Amino acid sequence: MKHSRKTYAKAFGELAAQSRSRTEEATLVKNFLRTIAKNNDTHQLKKIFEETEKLLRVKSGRRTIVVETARALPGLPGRLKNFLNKNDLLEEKKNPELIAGIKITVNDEEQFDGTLKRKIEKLFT
Amino acid sequence: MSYDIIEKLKQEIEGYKDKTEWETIGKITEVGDGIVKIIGLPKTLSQEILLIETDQGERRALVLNLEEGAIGALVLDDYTAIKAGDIVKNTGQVLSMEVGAELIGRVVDPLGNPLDGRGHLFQKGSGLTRYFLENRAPSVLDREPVDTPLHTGIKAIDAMIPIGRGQRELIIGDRQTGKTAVVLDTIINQRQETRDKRQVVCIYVAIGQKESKIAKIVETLKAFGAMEYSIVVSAPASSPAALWYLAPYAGCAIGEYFRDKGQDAVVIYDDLSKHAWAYRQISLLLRRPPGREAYPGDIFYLHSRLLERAAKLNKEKGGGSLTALPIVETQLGDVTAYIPTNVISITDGQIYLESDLFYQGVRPAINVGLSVSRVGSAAQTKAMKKVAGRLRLALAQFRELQAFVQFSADVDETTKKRIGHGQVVTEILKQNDLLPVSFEKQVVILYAALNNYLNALPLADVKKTETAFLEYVEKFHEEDILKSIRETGDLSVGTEEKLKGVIEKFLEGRFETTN
Repeated sequence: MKHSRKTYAKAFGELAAQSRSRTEEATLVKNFLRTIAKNNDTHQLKKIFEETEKLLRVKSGRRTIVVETARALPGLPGRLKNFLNKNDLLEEKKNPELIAGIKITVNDEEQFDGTLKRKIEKLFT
Repeated sequence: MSYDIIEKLKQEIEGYKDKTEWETIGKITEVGDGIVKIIGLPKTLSQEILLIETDQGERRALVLNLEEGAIGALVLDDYTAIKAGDIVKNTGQVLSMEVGAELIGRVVDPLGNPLDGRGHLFQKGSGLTRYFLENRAPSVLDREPVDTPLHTGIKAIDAMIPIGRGQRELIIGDRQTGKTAVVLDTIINQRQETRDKRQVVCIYVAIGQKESKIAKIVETLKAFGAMEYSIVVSAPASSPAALWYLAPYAGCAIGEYFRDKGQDAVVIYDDLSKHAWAYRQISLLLRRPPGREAYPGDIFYLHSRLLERAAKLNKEKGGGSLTALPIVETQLGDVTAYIPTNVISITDGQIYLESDLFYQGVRPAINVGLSVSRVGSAAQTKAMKKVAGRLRLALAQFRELQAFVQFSADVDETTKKRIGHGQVVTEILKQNDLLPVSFEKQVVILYAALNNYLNALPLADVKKTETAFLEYVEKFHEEDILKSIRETGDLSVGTEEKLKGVIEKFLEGRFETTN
């Protein structure tokens, strides 16, 4: 491991911050992959991508929002209009174990757990 | 009966207030051997308790490592249900346990859960006191010099290596030399030791010991009525390293509760060598750099912060005391190893038990030359000071001459007398375990031995004579001699004269019956 994952992510992030044309972006990504290969760090590729994605997301202020419900809820983006920002990535998951209610996780850092499963758990501990 | 249960449930459901809020969460990335690595939770405090949500309920973890991108935490409950990806939440609380007088007579684990099957420790909701397991030691100004003795009931210790209330005295020796026996005698002796009417609360912390041994100790304490003022904190060999690590701190927290209330307490750590091993295991799993003997760099601090909490507080702070009796096991008598030297430099003295002496029949196998109490005679009653002042010297002279014992027919009279006297005193200092001797009886028998009254006895008869003599004094002279020594703590001139008379009369009677 020549450089840490964070170092790669930071370097790429700072370059990507400058506005470029489509072709320039493609070249940038190609050069990034080439640099990683040259440093023999290809085994870390997946993790570097995760770090880079996280960094870019934080920089741009985008949030990844995961909504878990027991049954599929129709028209979810519309109902969460006040909560969602323009660039947010919304993912819907169905998890019958939650019985009822909704669980919203933002960026894997914050969570709002309003499910019946949690209420029952809290009641009986 | 079922009606009550339904009513209770109804009350709980009604009174249940549901407050769902946004919570900061983290995720488990690695789990194994009792250690978890967590990402997220940027506002975590050091030593905070985290809650891990698993399929089988919540598990608690103690934060030990705060790294740049991850947190290393020690799982306190069963870690087999935890898997990578589980959600982790903050509690904002640092590790603490409930303490109170209700703990007396109970066996608990380091997290405060009862282990003796006698139900809950505390009544719910009644103003519980919580003490942090990691607490600051009392400052210099809050302390007072040690002046009250903590009598162990063992003649050799109370006479030559006296322990005071508020002192830290290390008990060190190889395996099977009687370390736990010394400590059990001390606990049992506190039953008859009601100096100034202050009952000493005894806390025995068992770290990494066999459950059968802990069960035996609890039974022994119960048999002697010692559980009425003792607490056992148990982290047996099968429990995880986290509990071995926390057990001494839990015992200390309980002791501090009594100390801060103005009472006297003694806490026994059996033993700190295993505690150091548990900490080494945890540190290596947390990838902290290993030092000498693979122990982490802060192994000294581990024990120093524990033992510094044993102190004698001044009157303004209540005048209570916490005495610490740590036990360390050496390998092949090597006191120069890492952990023994660390703990020796922290404590106020050590009692050194040797296997050679043990096998020669000297039990307790205390090496008087290498044992020391840095508090010394400040923690002795006046009576004992008077009597035992010359004991150390007599034994030191005897040790010098021991080589001549084998051919004692070939030496001059003075040397022969010294050797004979030394042998008698050594016999007197031998004692069976679980038979502590109260200090007034110790004064009486040591007075007889050191003033050459017993020199004429054949060695094989010394122990029998001692037992008979103490019974005699107890039966006929409880009021005038024993009581006076016990209550004044001193051997007044009058009492001394009486004592001389009693000894002479007893020995006369004895020689008449045997001859």
